[in-house]
Amino acid sequence: MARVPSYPKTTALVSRALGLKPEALAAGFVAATRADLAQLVELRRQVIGAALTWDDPSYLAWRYDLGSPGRGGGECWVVKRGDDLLAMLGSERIRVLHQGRAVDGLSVMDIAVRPEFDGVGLGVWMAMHLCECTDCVLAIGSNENSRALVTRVFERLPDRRSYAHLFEFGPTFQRRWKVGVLAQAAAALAGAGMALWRAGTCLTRARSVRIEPLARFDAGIDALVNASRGGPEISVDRDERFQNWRLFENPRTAYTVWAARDGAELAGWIAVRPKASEDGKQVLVIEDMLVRANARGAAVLTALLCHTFQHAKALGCERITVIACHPRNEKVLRRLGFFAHRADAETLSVRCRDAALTEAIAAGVPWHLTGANTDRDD
Amino acid sequence: MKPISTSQALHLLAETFDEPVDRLAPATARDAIAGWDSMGALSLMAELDERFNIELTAEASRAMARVADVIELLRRHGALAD
Repeated sequence: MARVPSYPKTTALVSRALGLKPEALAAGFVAATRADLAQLVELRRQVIGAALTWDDPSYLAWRYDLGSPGRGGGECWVVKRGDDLLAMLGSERIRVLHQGRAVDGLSVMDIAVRPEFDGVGLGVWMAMHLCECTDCVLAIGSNENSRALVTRVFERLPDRRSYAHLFEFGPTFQRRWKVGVLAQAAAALAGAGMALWRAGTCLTRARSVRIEPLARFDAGIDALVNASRGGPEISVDRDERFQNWRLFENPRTAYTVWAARDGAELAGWIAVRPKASEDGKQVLVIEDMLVRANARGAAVLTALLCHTFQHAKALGCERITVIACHPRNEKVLRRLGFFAHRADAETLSVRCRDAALTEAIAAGVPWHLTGANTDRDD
Repeated sequence: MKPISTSQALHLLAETFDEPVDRLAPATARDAIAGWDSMGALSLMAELDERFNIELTAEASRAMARVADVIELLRRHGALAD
């Protein structure tokens, strides 16, 4: 594989291709403001074209805190030549936690470059430049266009896992086996078996755990967030402000959030949203979940998932899906009949300057992330 | 700068785009080369700059639609021996 040009070399090449001095390229990399919104929408229309159905001004303003800096977690960086906006890179401010230490960083969300500046490495340069200025940069998820970037500029970590719990096995078996009658019989058998397994597991769930809808997070989540960290794992911090912004203030997607209470104490939560799949089926997506890092946490997560099963059934969902990156919680998912399947988009890559964190990453310490750490709100 | 042969140019592109050399020919379209994405385009710019002192503009980079265009660029800059 060809080597990736160094940051100084990339800066020289990209600035020259754009007809700028290297200092002017770096100086033109600035945080977007509300005044840039029209150019941002136009840029995304040029890049995404007819597929652009959801990048409207209200969503972008929310996603990247345009007009209300610091309110949520997002930031949008742009490259400008004069007043001309050439490219954007969306990010989210994160605080990476490991063994009691916190490292401030950014999670890269999406990159868009004006078509006439394609092919000069401007997107690569923006990612490199951000890495130069930041202690830890995460790239969570990727698509065909960005896979080379997240693999070669960043250090690729083990992928996150994509799980599905099926209520109807028919469509999946039909796709795989193509033999109608056999597939139908097998699907009916598998569906009945899974229903029995679900019923049995949920019948024995902890009855003392009470599940109730949550309309807003409050400062009471801090104790649960602290208790959710166990062992040597690396996690991304979350607090009341972030959770409310991410799950309740999103102008495009309405999430349903349930809290689990063990006595009076907040013991966990789960956030879900219904979504139509590519084949037109109704799917329930688990976007976020958090429980304590002890044995009781598994019982609480089981109770939350049993409640999610009921909700999905009531909505007529064909399946529940979740992207997971947390070995302890994934054990509970598998016990409740969630199957892992291959998903090319669920990559995880990092570039870190913090020595202790770099050492932990190199040692293979597992990460704790959820779907709420990405920008998949479509 | 030492000029290279067309065959050597194909090997250079194969290495740059992480593609088997036997899948590259002058007629091969950019779209058919998975590694000729934004990362690949940047690597190509770096190779052309370092080995042949060829400076690529945004327009020139974008205009290259097939392998033959890179070979022609090398030829124009006296970097091709055959």
